[in-house]
Amino acid sequence: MIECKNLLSIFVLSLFVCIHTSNVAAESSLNLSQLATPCLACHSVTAEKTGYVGPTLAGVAGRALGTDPKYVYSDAFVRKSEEGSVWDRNTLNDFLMNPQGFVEGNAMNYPGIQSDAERDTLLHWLLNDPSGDPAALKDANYSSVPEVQSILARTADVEYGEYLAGECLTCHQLSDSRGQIPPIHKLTRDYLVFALLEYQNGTRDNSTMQSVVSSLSDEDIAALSQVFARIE
Amino acid sequence: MTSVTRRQFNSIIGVGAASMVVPPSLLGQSKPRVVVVGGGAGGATAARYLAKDSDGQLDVTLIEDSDTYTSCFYSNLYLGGFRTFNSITHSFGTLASAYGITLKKGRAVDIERESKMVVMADGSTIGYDLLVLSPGIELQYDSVPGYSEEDSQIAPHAWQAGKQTEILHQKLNELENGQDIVMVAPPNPYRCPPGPYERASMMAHFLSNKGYTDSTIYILDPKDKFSKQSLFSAGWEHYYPGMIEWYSPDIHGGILSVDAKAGIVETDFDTFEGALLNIIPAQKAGAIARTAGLADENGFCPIMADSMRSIVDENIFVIGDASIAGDMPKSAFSANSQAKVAAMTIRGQLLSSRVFPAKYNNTCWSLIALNDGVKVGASYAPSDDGTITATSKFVSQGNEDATVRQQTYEESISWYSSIVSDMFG
Repeated sequence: MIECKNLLSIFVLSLFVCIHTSNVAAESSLNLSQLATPCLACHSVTAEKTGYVGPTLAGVAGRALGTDPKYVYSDAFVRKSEEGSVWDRNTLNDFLMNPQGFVEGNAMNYPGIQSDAERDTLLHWLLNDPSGDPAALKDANYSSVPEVQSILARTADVEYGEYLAGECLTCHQLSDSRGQIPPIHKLTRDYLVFALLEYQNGTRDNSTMQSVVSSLSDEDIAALSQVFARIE
Repeated sequence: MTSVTRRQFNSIIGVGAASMVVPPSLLGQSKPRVVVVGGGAGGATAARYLAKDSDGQLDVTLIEDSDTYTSCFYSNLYLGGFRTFNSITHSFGTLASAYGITLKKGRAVDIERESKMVVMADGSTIGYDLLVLSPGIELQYDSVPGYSEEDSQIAPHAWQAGKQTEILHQKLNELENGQDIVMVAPPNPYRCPPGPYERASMMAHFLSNKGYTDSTIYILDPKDKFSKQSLFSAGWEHYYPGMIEWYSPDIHGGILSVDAKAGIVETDFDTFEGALLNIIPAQKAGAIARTAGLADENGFCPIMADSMRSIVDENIFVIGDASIAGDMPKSAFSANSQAKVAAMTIRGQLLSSRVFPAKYNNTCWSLIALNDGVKVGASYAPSDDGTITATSKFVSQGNEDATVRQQTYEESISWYSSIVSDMFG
């Protein structure tokens, strides 16, 4: 019941933000429902269910690797589990980026997900209890996060944002070519806000980014995210 | 939700010039003239941001003596074999073709500040309403006893990229196993604080790759410590054992003389012989800044922290290595960051656009060995005492694993490509 209420509130809040900013999730490349579909073909999102091809995703955050009692892990994965790691943002991120690189010979038949933004969307879902009907999650974008929402609700000073954007452009090119520093245009505004907040609260650990965001106020983030989200 | 206007869109993606329209209010009168001296990380960025953000309402001229720009940053990676010379050499062409910037080839030697004119080496003058000065550094050859500009053909400094970089590269390639390198490092303040030590790393990498591990690189330093010292020292011990020896003034006791032709550096402690001498002298602001009276007694130019405007002349902005930018090091990243503050301030003054509080950033990446990159950096803001002050700092840690170091290196490669596009379009 609690799950249902959360889900409902996520949906309602998203709807609210969508109406007010025209930031429609359906236009976004960060559609969780689409991104999660391949996962859900093999993984259950409730601990009770059995008979799935892979281990359950319910409660995966904080769980030690290789410890779903209802799943029989590959030898390769059992050996990896002996390192004693826990599924957290870093391990999940590494695994999703390159499953075979993370545990060579593991049983998951999935090539990995290269887009930082898409991976982050899945991580956000996995780290915040991936339960419920994924179809109903399609509007559960980052605008449902209260901290993101409070920034999205601010008036964005676009001229100010254009000035601030100069700070970003020293490192982030406005082209689709990507190296270690990802492009930050063509992303949704709520995702940009979410990502900047994660640097501010230390969830993301790139030291250059942490330094840059340390001087950004909520007003700055509102302005910057608006400017970059408009760049096609 | 308002939609993106053409102007906003152009100003962000930076292709404004092709569609620039002169507003009727300005027809029939000349546009405000901004002249930028120096086409490096500071000057090119300033010119580009002035042009792209002003919708053609400014007449922007960039004065530069060279046909192309070879970046001093990443020239060490050329020595190490990680980059080609071409990959660190860039054209000014797009600044003219896509941004409408007037390129003026030649050497600016002085400024007639009363009449607001830049004086060129050939005696011609170029008038301005506001001037951005980004002349970089001038080497003080006589700061190293016995060394001269002429000697730099034999014992290159390679601290201004281009021909000098090629000389150093060639001499490094000609070394045989067991032949030594003697580097004289510069005193503070100087361009690119980690640069000499990254250079030693890259030269050692190059030699080590050839199996020339009997050669030694001696660094004779006028300073008793240097940027990212513990990271470099640990890297040298790990990758190049016995190949790099660093001597502080406590040990060498002072550099007494350099004989470039003989390949000898005499110190109070000992005589060092090298088949290759790399002499990096003390530095001051580019000559034009000092000739025009914009520098202080130490040879660099004091500026206002909120704008990069010269304290000496309100019509001139000094950015990059030539400026005294508080806690900011003399780096390409710093110059690029300062250029944006200056450009924003200038547009505010000449075009009445809004002026915002200055924000600055810097990161200096260095490569120690293959896939082993480190970085140091900070964010900055003007402080109450009128200087640019760090508000947060970071530096790579000594205990980082190989994945992090590789990511740091790859980040630096990404950054290079980005800043070049931010400078030249």
